[in-house]
Amino acid sequence: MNMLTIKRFFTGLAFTTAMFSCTDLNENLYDIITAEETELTADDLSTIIAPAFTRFQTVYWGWNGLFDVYEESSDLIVTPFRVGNGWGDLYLDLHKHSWGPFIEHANNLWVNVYNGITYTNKAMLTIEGLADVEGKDKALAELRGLRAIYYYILFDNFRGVPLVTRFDLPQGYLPEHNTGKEVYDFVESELTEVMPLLSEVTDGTTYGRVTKWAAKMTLAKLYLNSEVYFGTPRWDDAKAQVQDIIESGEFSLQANYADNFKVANDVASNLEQIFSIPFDDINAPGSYYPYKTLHALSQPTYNMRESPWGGSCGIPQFIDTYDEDDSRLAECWLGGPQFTSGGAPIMAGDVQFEYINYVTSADAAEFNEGFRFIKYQIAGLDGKGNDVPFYRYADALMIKAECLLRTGGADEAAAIVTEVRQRNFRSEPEKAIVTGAELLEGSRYNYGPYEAGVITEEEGGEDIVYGRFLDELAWEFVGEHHRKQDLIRFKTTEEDKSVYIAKSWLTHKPSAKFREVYPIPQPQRETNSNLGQNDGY
Amino acid sequence: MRKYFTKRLMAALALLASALLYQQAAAQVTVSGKVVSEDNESLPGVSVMLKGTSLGTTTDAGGRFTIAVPGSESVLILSFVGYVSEEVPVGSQTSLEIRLVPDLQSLQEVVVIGYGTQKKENVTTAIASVKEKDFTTGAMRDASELIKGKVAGLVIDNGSGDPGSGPNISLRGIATISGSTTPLILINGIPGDFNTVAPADIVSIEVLKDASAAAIYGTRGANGVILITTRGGDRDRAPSVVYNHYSAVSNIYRKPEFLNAGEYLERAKTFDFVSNYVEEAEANGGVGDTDWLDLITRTAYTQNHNLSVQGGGASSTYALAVNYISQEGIFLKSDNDEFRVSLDLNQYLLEDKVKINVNLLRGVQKRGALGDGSSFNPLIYRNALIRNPLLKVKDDEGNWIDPVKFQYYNPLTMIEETNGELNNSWTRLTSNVTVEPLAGWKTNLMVAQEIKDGFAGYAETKKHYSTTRNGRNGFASRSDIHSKTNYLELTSQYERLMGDHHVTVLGGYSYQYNVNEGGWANNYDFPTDKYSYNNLGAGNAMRDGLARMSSYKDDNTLVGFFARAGYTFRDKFNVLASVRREGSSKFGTNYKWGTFPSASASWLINRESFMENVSGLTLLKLRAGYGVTGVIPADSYRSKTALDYSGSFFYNNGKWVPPLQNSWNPNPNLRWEKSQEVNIGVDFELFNRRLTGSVDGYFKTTKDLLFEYRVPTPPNLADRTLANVGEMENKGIEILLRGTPVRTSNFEWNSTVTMSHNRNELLSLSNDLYKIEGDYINTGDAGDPISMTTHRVKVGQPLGNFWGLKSVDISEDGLWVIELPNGERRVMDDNVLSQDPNRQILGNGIPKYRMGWTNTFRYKNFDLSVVMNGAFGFQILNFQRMFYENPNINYNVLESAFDNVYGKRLLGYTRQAYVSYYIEDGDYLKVDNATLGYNFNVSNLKFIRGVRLYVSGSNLATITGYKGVDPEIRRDDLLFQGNDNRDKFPSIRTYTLGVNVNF
Repeated sequence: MNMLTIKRFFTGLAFTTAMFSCTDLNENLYDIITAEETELTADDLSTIIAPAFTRFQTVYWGWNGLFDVYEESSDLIVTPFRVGNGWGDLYLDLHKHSWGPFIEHANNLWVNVYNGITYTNKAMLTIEGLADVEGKDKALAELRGLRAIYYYILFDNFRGVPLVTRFDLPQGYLPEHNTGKEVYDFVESELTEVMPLLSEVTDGTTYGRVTKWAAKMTLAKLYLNSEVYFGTPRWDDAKAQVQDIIESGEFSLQANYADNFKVANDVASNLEQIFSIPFDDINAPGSYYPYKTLHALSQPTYNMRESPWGGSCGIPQFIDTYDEDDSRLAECWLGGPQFTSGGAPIMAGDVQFEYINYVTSADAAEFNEGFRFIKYQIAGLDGKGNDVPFYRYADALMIKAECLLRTGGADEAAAIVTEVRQRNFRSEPEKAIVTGAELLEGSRYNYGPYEAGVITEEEGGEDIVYGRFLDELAWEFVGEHHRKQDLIRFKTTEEDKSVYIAKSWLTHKPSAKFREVYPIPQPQRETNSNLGQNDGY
Repeated sequence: MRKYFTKRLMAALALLASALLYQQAAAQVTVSGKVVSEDNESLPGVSVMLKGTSLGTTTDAGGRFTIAVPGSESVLILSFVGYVSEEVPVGSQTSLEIRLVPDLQSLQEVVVIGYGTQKKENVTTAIASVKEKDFTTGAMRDASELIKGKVAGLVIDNGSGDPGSGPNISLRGIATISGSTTPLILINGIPGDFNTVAPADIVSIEVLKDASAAAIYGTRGANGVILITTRGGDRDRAPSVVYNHYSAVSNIYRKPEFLNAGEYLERAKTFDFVSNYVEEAEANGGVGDTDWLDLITRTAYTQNHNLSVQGGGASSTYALAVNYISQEGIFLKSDNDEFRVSLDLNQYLLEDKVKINVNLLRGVQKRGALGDGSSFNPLIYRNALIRNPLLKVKDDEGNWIDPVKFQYYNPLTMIEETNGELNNSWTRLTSNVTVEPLAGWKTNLMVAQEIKDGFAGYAETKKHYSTTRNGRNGFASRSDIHSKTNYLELTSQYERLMGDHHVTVLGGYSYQYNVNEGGWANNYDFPTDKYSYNNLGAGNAMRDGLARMSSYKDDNTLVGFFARAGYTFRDKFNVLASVRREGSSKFGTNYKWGTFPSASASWLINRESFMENVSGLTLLKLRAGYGVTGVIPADSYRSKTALDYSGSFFYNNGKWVPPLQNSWNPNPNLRWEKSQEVNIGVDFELFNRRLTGSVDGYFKTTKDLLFEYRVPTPPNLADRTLANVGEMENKGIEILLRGTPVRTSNFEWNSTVTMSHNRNELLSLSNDLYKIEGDYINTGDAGDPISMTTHRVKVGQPLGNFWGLKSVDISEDGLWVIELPNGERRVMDDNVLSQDPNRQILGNGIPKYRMGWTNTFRYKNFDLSVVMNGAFGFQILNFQRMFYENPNINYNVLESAFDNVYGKRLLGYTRQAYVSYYIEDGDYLKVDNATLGYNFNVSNLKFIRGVRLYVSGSNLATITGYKGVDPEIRRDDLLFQGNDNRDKFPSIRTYTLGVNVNF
């Protein structure tokens, strides 16, 4: 070989490879953008804060989400095993209080809420770095308020969780497990601190946003349950927060109870809603609940787009507590013979299809057993656009009433309860009136293990302290992420146990104290070795 | 569609005819002769060419030929498949007798290795080579079936009867836990798959099994490499034209035994069915007798035509192949039509110092689509099994009978009221310029482009349940994909023999740029069904904001530099070493380039003086090698912090705003998965080549396993990050034995056995940044309504472990008696019992042993080949039994639901559960293919050199204890192998009649 040939060859090689930019490994971006190459300005503010808020949608109506945690572990709603169809399963774990640290609901709650928190932290970091943001302080204050509400949800369910307040953390960073007290104090101090900077306006500009009133409702709930959390009651503190809301004059009760749950309520005309999670048929579809609860045969009743899956239903013992003249029974529950939207009877074989207020057992329910929860209006795209009134004015009133009741003001409390009830007893107005003495009575709920329509062991509700008030909460707030918290706050006279763990309903048997707090999800403990586990799990 | 193919066929034939006209004539002396084999048998059909011309002839049935040559200086070239070509100077002779030596198992045989070829005797690595003559014949779905069972360690599982769907392929166990185990498949050096070229167009398939062989392919080599070589022309060869045809019929291999109408009615007299099918039928058109599976299936017909032409002149060669296959699937409307053409042209210039090659490949495929963007809709098959056999199909007015129940639809409506197609096409243009300025120094530049296009369309009429139940009022969707890949490869090789020393050196550069894009849209609420999926804008759902659309585009680049050196001493010692330095755009900024070295050596012991006296031993070779290979992340951009505006919108002062979200957790340390493998092997030939074989042992460790690892939230946004963390080990042994137990002039029996054993163990799932407490992952969803995971991937254990409750008995109430890990027995009154502390390992779904056994018999003009495959030492979770072997469910059930469980009583549950009762031993031995052929005596025919007629059967018989449809299951999911999904497209049995004509 002569050297010239070799030289020519390598020159040729170098030339050819150069044409193909031989070692260029840059990626061209087409259908994505990257953080490194995207410059954000003040104009992007709404898209920057958007994911921090939209996570609230997922927290609530994400599959196996917040709704189930508060309702299905309680004495109001159950997803029984439907013979020949399915369901049951982990919903029975909720019903029977037999969940372990793997239960998907706990993990979903953790993941979805922390996703909201992390996006809030990220939005705050981004906004801090932006020039020319009008009212930067207020924007940051609102995000801190939002983050505190997220932490309140975590705290109410798990107590101690990691307090993460920054986004710019080193790779591999493992957050520490803060104590429940630290989380409680954080929520309280954050909300108190940002309160002066939050908006007091309640119109279209603040719908779905964290206002001063949303912050106050969160604080009120924190204080209302302080006795449960730490054995230290703060009734007056709770009352003071809702009193501010009441005195603000920004809110009033909706004339019709059902109007609170209409699809078309995301305009600011609805003055009962203090803090809402906005949904939209097209842009932000939410609730799947009509599908989960209704049987396929109910499709024509609501002209639903697809055939529903027939799972959840009301627990018969609870349905039995309603006064027959309480309009909320029919507004919340679908029962009896069924008709299409046009009024024609729906047939199941040769007989008219009927939802019966009877369940064989949570382990074996027939397709037509149990009334169906239809409080949130099923309209538009099957109710997917129906907003969730996360905090309602009626809730503020009832918090005040409960604080009064528990501090010796039963009659004052009764006046408020009566005020809330009035819209629900139009046909029999005198039935709306509740006395202080009545509120001091036990519960009407006929507790006890239930099998095929028979309560096999009578427990009743007489021994529940302020049981009647607990009933009022159920009638007013069923399906509004209330019941678990309420059942834990109300006690029986015996041994001072919470109703949540002391009573039996349907197939649920009394459970242990540790069930009042959810387990730290096992998948999270597996990836963050700093996380401990709550007692009992 | 047929018309379209006919047009193409005509064009191809025209091209072929012009190639044949490439002929000339001029001669003075006539020479005649006879060609015989080693055993003095005359050889018909041997090509006899005049060297330096395109003149030639072939021998007749008596092996005789006559050819006119210019003079005594002429040289004849004789060539015949399976024999070594001979060059014979004519000289003064006018009558010649020429003996051809068989090429069978010849040590001179050349094996294709990465970027070049090697004499088989010099091979130092674990390479399996299967030549055309050893391919299985019959109705081959794709090229993988040609070599199934013939390469030890190469596992090919079909398990699906879907025409056009590929098999699951793995080599030497599972070395990766994400993505696929499919080896890199190169067709003439360019990546493709087993379906890229027609099986009839392939002449050899080489499998680079160990890392010392595959390391030259760097990050693409960890699953092994398969090199497919297609037919090319030969210089100085008379044109040969081969036409192959086969027709085949296929049927479902085995039907699951569900209750038919009569059986259901009979049972209903004594058994209280939850499903209430009698009542359901009475309320919906009356009691009938419908065999739903029969209604949706058919005897499927397949036809295949293949025409290939090849030849060459003094300085050019050509090869053309045209293939058309039309396959029906056993389900109505499941079809696959393919048309493939390939053309290979070579021109030699400047005294053969320069060679120019052009290769063109084009394939067009059309499949029926029973689902939206998919060939098969599992709901159709599922509903045919579980549907009420008493229901009629249509009412008296001709409307579909379709009572409302959860996931319960008339299966015929899902076929008759839908319309869909999946189209794919691929075009590959390759050009090579090879320059050999000095003897032994060869430089090759390859430039190639491959373009792939796909289109899918699907529509549902207003009689489909999407309208009758879900009110969509007609539905349609369409999608298209485009992918383009540019290849550039420059290699230079130098070879020199200096006395006892033989040296080869290779250097090269490779560049690959791939860009993918596509789009998808659907719409519904159409004014008419007539538009099908051809007028998407006519639907109202888009206007209502309910229809969806999307598009994507991404690209990636892979660049490699590589070098290899080989050294041979006295044809006795061989050493080979290679290194590849490779970078990918998919890697994170901290790890852009990786290095993949290898080294191997072999020693031909039989060439040593001390072995001289061992009789009959013609080969004893010891091989050893070590190499490093890799696996690249599947998706682009995963190392970057990508943002998107997807997801649910945010309500901001009356407006809905898209959220700016993170698409995934970025990982700047993202890199290749790294496999290191040691291979030791022996090749031998005994009893004068009557028994030959190889034994290989390997030990392979994969580090930095790519997987979506769980990470803590907070602080991460997503709960998984694509990262390189775990470590896994595979070790095994492979045996190949070839023997000729009988060989007489009329009868010959050849037998080939392949055996392999692989042991897999997961060594780690964590590192400094990633840690999974307990070091396990529960995976494999049993599916609705059994919400249980089926498998556990655990450190210290092999992949494929079933993890669940161990059932040992049935209680008096018909409930499972579960044996807990501590030995305690508990009645399972609730599925809640299925929690980790109560679960245990119930078996393993990955076969520990695989076997292939091919026997070929030749008697006079008859030949028979039987290919058997087997897998042993594994379990299968029988989903059909788990779901349908329970008499109390709301749907139709298997007949065996009425067999007593544990010989005691029927199940008492109304719901299904995953327990060990449904895990069965999967061991099987299967007759995969049997082909009987006959070669006609065509000596009297002027233009025909050979005719072969054959009948063939595929999936003929299986010896197994497995109760499901077929123990050869799909293995699409690496982490939960062994699940025999209830909705799987059932396997088929095929009978084929074929003919090959050689002109």
